[in-house]
Amino acid sequence: MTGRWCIVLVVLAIASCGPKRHYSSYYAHEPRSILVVPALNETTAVEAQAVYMTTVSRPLAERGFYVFPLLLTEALLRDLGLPEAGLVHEMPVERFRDLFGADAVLFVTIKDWSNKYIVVQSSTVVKVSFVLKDTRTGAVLWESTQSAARNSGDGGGSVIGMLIAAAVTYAVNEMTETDYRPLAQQANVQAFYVRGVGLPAGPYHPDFAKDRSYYPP
Amino acid sequence: MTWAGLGRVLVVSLAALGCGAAVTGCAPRPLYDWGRYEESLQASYVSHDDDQVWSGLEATVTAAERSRHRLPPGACAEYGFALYRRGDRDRAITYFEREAQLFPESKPLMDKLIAKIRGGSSPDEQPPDGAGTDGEAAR
Repeated sequence: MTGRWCIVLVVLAIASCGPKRHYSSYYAHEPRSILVVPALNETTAVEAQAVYMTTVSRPLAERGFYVFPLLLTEALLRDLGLPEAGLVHEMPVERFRDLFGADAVLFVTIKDWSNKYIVVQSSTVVKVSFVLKDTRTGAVLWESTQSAARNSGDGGGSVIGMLIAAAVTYAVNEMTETDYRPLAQQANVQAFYVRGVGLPAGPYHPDFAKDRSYYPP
Repeated sequence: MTWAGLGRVLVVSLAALGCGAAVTGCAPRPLYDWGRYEESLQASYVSHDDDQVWSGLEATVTAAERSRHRLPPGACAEYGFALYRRGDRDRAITYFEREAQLFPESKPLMDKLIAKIRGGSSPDEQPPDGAGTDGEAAR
């Protein structure tokens, strides 16, 4: 076709292909409120944590949970002498109940946040893992690992076209910091919203307590 | 789009179907009116622009007040905290109370912050013993 190149959103539905999940632990300590603590960044992309943190409140709140204010949470943690995600992730979870009154804590780890070049194509990848823990018992209520990737198109088949496509993609990636944001948002949606493996609806959602057939105990 | 591109889309779609993964996506009608709340988060985390954090929070809260839209969790609390930082203790308390009214899950934390402001200390200041526990929050 013409010089048009397309961006293909590839959903790596690996996690959703696993065996059927059971939610007995989740229902035993069903949370109303979730504290999202600063994400742990295991990648070398320094901006990953900051960009990721701007994407998580909304999908979680729209799933029906009370999500604690992120900026206030970080200020309170900093004042406790916990400026780094690594230290926060190692804290006994019961402390988050004492300090914030949170029912559950969501620990997010950024596993991949990169742009890879395969010959002349580039692939932007975001991979995130989630662990939701009960603050009374420390029990794991839910966990998930999700990847979202976007590949640059093939540039119309010709070698020149492919080179141009790769160059354009590179320029776009270099220019915009927000480039990874849609992928982080996609990873969140895949994690929270996929029926049967995601999070059951929270108390502010109309499906609350009505969707148990999809999320068996 | 080329045939190769189409093929890739098809393979991915089939893979998703094969897994029985019905991506339900976002709820058709959002629960909350987010206004410029996320913009504020971006201004704080990414561009470190305090003025934009403030204006985004203020616009979100005042727009919702005018149109009676539902404010998302955390918006009033963040706005209250921003007000406190600007030295407006009374209005900070008002918005912390508002957050607790809208979302009772936040009440233990909001009460704690309000008590700190009334006691003359900063809301993000912890007691020297670092215990940070009171019966209410533990409930």
